[in-house]
Amino acid sequence: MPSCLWIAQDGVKHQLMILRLVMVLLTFVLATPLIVIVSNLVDPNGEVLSHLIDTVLAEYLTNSFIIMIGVGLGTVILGVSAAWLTSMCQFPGRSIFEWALLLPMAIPAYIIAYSYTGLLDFAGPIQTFLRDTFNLSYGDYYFPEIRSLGGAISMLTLVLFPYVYLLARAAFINQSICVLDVSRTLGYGPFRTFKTVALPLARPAIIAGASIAMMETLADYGTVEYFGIATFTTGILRTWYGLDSAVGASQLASILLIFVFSLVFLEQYSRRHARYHHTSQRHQAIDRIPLLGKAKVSAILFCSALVAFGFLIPAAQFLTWWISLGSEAISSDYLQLITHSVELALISALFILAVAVIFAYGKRLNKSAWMNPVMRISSLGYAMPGTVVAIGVLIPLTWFDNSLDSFMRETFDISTGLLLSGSLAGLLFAYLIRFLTLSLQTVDSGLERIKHSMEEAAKTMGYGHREILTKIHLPILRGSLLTAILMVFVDVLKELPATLVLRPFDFNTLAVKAFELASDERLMETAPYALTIVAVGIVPVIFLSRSITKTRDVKS
Amino acid sequence: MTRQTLAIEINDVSAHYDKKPILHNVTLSQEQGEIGCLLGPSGCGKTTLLRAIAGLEKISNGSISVNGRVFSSNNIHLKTEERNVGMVFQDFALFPHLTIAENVGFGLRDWSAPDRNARINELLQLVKLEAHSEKYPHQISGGQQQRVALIRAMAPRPQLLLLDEPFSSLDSSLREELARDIREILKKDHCTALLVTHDHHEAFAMADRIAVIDQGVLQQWDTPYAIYHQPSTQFVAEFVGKSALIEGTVESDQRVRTTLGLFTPINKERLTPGNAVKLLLRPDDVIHDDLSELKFEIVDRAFRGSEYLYTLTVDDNQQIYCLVQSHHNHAIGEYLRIYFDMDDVVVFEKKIQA
Repeated sequence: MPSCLWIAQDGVKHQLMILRLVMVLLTFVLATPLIVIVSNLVDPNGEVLSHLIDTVLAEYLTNSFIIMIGVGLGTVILGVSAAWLTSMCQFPGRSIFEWALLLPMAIPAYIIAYSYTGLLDFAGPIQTFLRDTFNLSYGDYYFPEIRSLGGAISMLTLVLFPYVYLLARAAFINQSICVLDVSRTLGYGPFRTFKTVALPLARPAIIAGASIAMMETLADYGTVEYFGIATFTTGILRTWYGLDSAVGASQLASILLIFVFSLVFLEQYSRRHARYHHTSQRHQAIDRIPLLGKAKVSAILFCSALVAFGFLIPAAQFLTWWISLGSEAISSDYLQLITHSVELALISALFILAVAVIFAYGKRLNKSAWMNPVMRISSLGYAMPGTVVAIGVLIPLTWFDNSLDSFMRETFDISTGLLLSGSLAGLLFAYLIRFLTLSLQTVDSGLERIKHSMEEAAKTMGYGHREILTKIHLPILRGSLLTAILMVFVDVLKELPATLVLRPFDFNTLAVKAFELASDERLMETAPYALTIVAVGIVPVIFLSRSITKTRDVKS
Repeated sequence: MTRQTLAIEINDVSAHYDKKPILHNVTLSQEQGEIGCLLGPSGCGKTTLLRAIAGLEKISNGSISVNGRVFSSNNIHLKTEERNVGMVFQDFALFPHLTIAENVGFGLRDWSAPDRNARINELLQLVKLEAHSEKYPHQISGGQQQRVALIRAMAPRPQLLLLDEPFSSLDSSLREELARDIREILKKDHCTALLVTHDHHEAFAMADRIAVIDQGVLQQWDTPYAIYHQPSTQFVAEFVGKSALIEGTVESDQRVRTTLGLFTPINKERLTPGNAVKLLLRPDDVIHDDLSELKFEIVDRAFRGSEYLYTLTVDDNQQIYCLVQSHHNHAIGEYLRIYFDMDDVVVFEKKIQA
């Protein structure tokens, strides 16, 4: 049905043209870092790449690949088990675990790595306790080394399994109504049903969840850098700073992007097929299997362990450190940093929201075919690791600054210096690329609730465009706009690698400060910064768990 | 009686969407206080015509006037917000962030507060929703939402009320009752209304006059009785209700001879002797009578509660339908005795294949 009423009015027509123009320009700007990085892959001057191939590339490839696969397997095992237990079985505490299992998402991987390093290190409480109790000294006993591939896999798995949990849980709940009962009536017991029906049906969702977890793994910089593991992300920055080679760093980034976009493809492909699996829209109470005896105890222990290791223990560790720091903890340094971080996150969130609103309205008002590539390109950034975005932003900005500087010096004898690459502009640009999708999806889903017929209804009642915007759109969208700001705000506070590379001189955020302190082996002092990040990170988790509770309410 | 200005005058209107023609030279007019209906299959252009009257679509030819004022023509396109027409949308389009009372009052922003509240209360009472005035749309049922959408559109006393498939998102059991209720409400408020639907039951229940549209072309604009019993085209006959078409030829006296006998059509002046025609037989034109000499074999029957619809075979490739009280229970294979009782005999000249 032709329903773009705005187009029908001639006065609006050229405003629409301007909107389209702005969108196309923004899309080009957003795609620049990607183009810059990939174009370096075909750089004729291949010396750096061949040097990298001869030396470190094999190590980067192996390490990144092992960690990725390890985290993929780990998150699937933990996430699917947790999802099955909480959605299909009945045991004491189930409804608490249902949302508590999301808590590990609040802790960035590099933060959880600091807490476990403190706990499990040679000087940490556990090894000290073992030595004191059994009268051992260094070298007398075996203790697993946390700063290892296995350690990194464990840390990342602990905080990333909720992605698989969330998607698998949704899949189990949706399918239960339509097919599980059928399987039961055909004589399959509950566990055979799980193996032969539920699990295969949930596979697309599980693969999608694991793909996201693996993307996050490839993007991780803080954990592997702290553990001293050579992967693509650490390699990119080493090549950038150590070898001073933008081309080499870009080439490594391109190879990493091949991995990342394969995962993006895998994720989208699985999701597309997942859609066909929901054959019923009906909501019906799930007949949960009551667990008894050993099964009950194991279920409780398993879920408790996930929440404890993924959230409670690390949080408790930081809390203990903070308390033992005493009054030193809240220094003027800390307060100033909080102000800085909040300002930066707020400015970024508002800036990204503005761009998201442009894209969301552009999509609503243009139904033409060219919108698809525009929306797709604008959303690519969410998959790009922070380090890749950082150098993708830095290369063109530095070029621009240098060109401008030399031009100004030649013509006016003025030095403009690092106008963009040395200022917050670069950081904002990188955040925009990384987090636009997050903001856009939230605004978009809010905007979809405003049906075109509502606008038309308002018109038949004598309202013009401006009034429709203030009386209909704004009040209905308000919640979505606030959510979009909040989501980006939290993610900017947690972001490490791009901030580390692009921040202006002497400009620190909570994440960067924690990283710097940990790198100096001042783990205890990271506590205030780490805990603040975790506290902020809980906010989106509350949103998610609220939506989980909502789906439960519908069913009961 | 003084001659009133017509409520709606649609004159030779055509419309295009993406260069595809949607409406072809539609002309019709509606009196004030009448409830009209645009009836046709989906995609026939009826909704486009309704939206063109509301100003939500532009027309490419002709003119649309309401109460003597030109709304749309080749060079005029009055903005929707200046037309003072109310519209009820297919999905109701209630504002989710406003209460029921606020929704109803949305179009009354220029009214004084006491007047506005009085009007809101009056309308809520009319549809018996006073108790729900402070609720939000998602808290009331589909049928209630429908009535809120209706009174919201009626609230500013529009000169014309447009209803786009107002019952399509409701349970079929609710539809007929609501259609009657709404007709009563509209008549009580002396509303001129135009409704769009694809369901002839709804059209019959609501409308004083019905326009049947097929592929953008107006087929007939008439009373419900005439649409059913005196359809002007074969499309209209087949679209509104069950029909059997029996082959026949025009005699020299312009009566029509069929295997069922001789009939005198209402439009016989237009018929050319010797031409092949089709004769329309409605199930209620065929009356069961055990004393009748005419009898045909029953090949199928459908139980409809109070009556049976029997399918009778006339010859190898022609069948007729007969509606009989369900006390007359006959099995398939039996012969049913019938006679014909037609007020109006309608025939269609066979379509000439181009």
